[in-house]
Amino acid sequence: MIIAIASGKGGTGKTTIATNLALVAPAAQYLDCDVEEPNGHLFLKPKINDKRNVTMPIPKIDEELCTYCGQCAAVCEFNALAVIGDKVMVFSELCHGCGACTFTCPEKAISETTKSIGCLEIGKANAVESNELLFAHGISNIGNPLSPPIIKKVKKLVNNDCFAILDAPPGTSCPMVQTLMGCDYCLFVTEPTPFGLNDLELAVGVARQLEIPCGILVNRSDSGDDQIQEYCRREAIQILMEIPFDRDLAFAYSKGEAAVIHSQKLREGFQKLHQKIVAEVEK
Amino acid sequence: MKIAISVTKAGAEANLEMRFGRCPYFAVYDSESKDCEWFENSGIKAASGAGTGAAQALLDRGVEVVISGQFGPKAAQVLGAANIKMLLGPPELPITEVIAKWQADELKEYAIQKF
Repeated sequence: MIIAIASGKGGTGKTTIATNLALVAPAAQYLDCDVEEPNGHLFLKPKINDKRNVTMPIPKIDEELCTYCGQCAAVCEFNALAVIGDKVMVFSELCHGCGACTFTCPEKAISETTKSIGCLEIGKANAVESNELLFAHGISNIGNPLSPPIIKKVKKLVNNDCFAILDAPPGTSCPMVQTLMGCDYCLFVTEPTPFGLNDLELAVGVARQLEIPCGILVNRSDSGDDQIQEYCRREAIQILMEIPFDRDLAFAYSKGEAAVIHSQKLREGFQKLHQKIVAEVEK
Repeated sequence: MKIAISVTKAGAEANLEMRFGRCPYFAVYDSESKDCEWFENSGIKAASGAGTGAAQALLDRGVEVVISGQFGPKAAQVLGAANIKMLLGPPELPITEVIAKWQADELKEYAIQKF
């Protein structure tokens, strides 16, 4: 079973929810897909035992064979190539690695070389009640503008025998869509503010487009207004859990500690959340 | 000599557009025949690489001088490699005045920035 924890708006508590859920759910696997700024490891403190490089293909021009016909530049959807007289410029930061230029070149003057764009770190963490928690995250290189290829590699690490939790990046653009694709369920973490609601509506739109069933968790539920609840009633979306603002939770978070380790009440709350998600998926 | 100018729209009423890669249109003025033609910049719809795409389109048209409000680093790299002269003009200036300023040699040359 693969579930995504997403939000739309950033800073609503995706990682807090994903890590706490991972710590209480039996046979869980936590995968941080927020590869531009992974932070789940700060709370789970995994022992990393495997590190892998993530690369993508970029074109390499053989100047001996090139006739500077310009077909490679013309076919490139991302304008990553420019042909100037007897020079071919490759802008690797614009390249999406699609291979269209290599395929198109009539002289077979283009081959593919690779460029490192990030890495994967894989390991294990200790869950509550001495369960073992499988851990993995992707890290995008600084300056790399293309995170979906790294997210794809993180998702290849999903263990199908586990309750796999994907910690999604914020927003509703390609990285978030890449994370959600193929999931069995998506839990949206939101906050009762106009910003929270606005971005939640956009995120729910993505889940519906991808035909992924979704539910809501309202974090800091006693602040703000009740527009989230009204929206969920109107759209017939289930609210699985509400977490009121709690100073102790915030304090534990600031020290990089998971809330379920300190609070019996929250531990039970997250166990219930896990059961509800499983019930929703098996419905 | 062909001179390209990033402009706000097609036609003689157009003004200089501040952006190079994402300008709506380019005007290409021929200094010998005094003819001017306009073409839509496909870069305005490009997901990425608008600047490199626009620069390539101008090179393919045999342009030797480009006038815009500003040039992005990648566009400037392509134009610079092709020895195209890049000149800066004040945004919103009517195209006829831009050409007059070019003829009077009053436009500042763009200096390639090193990053």
